[in-house]
Amino acid sequence: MRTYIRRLKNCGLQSGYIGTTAFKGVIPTKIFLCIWPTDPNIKNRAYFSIRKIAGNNIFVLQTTVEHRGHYVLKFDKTANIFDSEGFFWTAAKGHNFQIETKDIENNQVFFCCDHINKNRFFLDMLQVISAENHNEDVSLVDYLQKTFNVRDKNTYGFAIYLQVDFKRDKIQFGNSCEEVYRFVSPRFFLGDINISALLYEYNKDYQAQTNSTTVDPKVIEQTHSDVGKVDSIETRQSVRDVLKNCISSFLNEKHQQQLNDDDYTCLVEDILENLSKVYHEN
Amino acid sequence: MKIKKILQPSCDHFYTKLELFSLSENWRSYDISSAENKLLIKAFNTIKSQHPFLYYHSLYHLLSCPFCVEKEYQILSERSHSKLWYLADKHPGEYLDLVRQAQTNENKDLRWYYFYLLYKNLAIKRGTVLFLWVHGNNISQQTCQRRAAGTTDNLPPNMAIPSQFIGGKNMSLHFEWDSITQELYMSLRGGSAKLRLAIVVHVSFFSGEQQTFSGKEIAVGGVWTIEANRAKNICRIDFIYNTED
Repeated sequence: MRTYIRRLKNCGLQSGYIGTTAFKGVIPTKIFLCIWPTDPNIKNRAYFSIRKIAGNNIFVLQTTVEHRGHYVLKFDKTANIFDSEGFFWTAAKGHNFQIETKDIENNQVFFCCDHINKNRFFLDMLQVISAENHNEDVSLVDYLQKTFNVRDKNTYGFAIYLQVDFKRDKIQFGNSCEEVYRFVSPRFFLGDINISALLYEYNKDYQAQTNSTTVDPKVIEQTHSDVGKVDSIETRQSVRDVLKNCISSFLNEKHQQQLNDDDYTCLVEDILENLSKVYHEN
Repeated sequence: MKIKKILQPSCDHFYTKLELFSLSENWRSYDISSAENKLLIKAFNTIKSQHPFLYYHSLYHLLSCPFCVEKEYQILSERSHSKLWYLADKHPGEYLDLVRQAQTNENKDLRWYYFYLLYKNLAIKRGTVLFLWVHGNNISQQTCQRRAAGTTDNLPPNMAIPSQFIGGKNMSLHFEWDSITQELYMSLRGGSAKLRLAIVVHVSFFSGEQQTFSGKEIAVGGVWTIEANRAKNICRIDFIYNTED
C-alpha cells in the first residue's frame, strides 16, 4: 500500500487556534509536525506568509480523538513567551509530496519541497507525533525545546502533516478511465462519507483576533505578487504565438477547402502539441 | 493519437490542459482576433462531440484533483465544487438534491455551473437505475445494469421485491414499454390488494424531478404510466411499504 502525506491547508496561527476536523470517515495513521527556523532577513522568507502573534502565546499541542473517529489537533495559546522572545510563526505555502510507507518507518523521510532550506532543515525537523502517545497536553515550548533544541531567538516555520492510507482505484466515465488513489475508508449507505481525493479541510470556525495579529506587509506583498507560471508575460506571449501560428498554418493548408471534423481535430492536436512545448510537458 | 495522450484525465500535461480549457471554456482572454477565436471554438466543439468522455473527464480531473487545483489555485478553485467527487463515486440517485441545487445556481456560481455541466456529460451517461426498498427504518439499495449494451432501455423487465420489505410476501415490479408511444408501464404482480394499498413508489429522474405513484391507483389491477421522454431518464426508484404499526 502506498501512503500519501499531505500538508494541511495553509493556516497561519493568527488567532492561536487551529482546529482540523478533516476526516469524515478517514483515519489518519500518523500526524507530523514539522518545524524549521527561518531567518527573517534572508530572501527565503518570501515563501512564507508570516504572522506575528501578540498577546498570550504559548501554544499547547493537543491531539484528541473525538467520537466517530474525528481527529482534532489544536493549538491553544495560554501565555506570551514567544512574542516577548521575538518568535514568529509561519505557515509554509503548500507543496505536495509522496513517500513510501517504509520510508516513514525508517524515519528517512524527506520532503519534496521547494523551500530553499529543504536539505538542511526538513529532514532534521520532521517528527512524528502519534495520536496515542500524547494523552496529556504538551506545551509546545517544552516540546520544541526537547525535540528541536530551539532555544534561540529566531523565526520558525511550521506545518502539520497527516498520513492517511490510500488504495488504488479507478474512476470510469464511458470509455475514459483514470487511476486514482483513495482514502481507505468505510462507505455507508447514502452516507456522506468523503472518500474523495480532497485530503483536508480547514476549520474556519475560529474567531480571528484582529487586534492581536500583525502582518508584515512586505511578506504579504511578496507572497501575493508571486506571479504563477501561467500568468507571466513571457508565457502569455508564447501561448498567443502558438495559437496565431497554428491557426495561420491551418488556414494556409486548408485554404478554400471544405473543413471536416478531422481537420478541426488536427488543429487542436497541433495547438496542444505546441502548447506542451511552451510548458516543457511534451 | 496525440489528443488522447495529452487530454487524458491525470495530473500529466497540466499546463497544456489548463490552456486548452481556458480557451475552450473561456476562462481567460486571449489576445486573438474574433475570427481566430471563432475557428477555435468550432474546433473545440468538434473535440467535445468526438471525444466527449475524454474532454469532460479531463476537465473533471482538473477541477476535482486537489493537486491540480492547488497548482493554479486562483483559476481552478473558484470552479471546483467540493462535492464533485460524488460524480465519480456515487450513483446520481444518491445526490439528486444537489442536482436540483446545481440547476438553480448554475448561472450564479461557477462551482455549481461546472458541477452541473460535468453531471450532465459524465454522471448521467452511466445509465443505471438505483432501486431503494424501504420498509420503516429498513432500507436496502440495489443498482441494476442495462439490459444489453447499446440499448437505451436501462430498466430490467421485472424486479423481484425483497420479501423482507413487504412483510414476507411475494411481489415484483414490472416494466413494459409501449412500442408505439414509448410510454413506460410500471405494474405490480403478486400480493393482495391490501398490500398494494400500503405501497408508494417515488420515481426520480436525472433532471432531479420526482413523480409519485400510489398503490391505491392500482390496488385492484392496472398499471402506472410514465410519459415517454421522462421514462428514458429514470434515475432512481424508491419502493416504500407503509405499514400502520
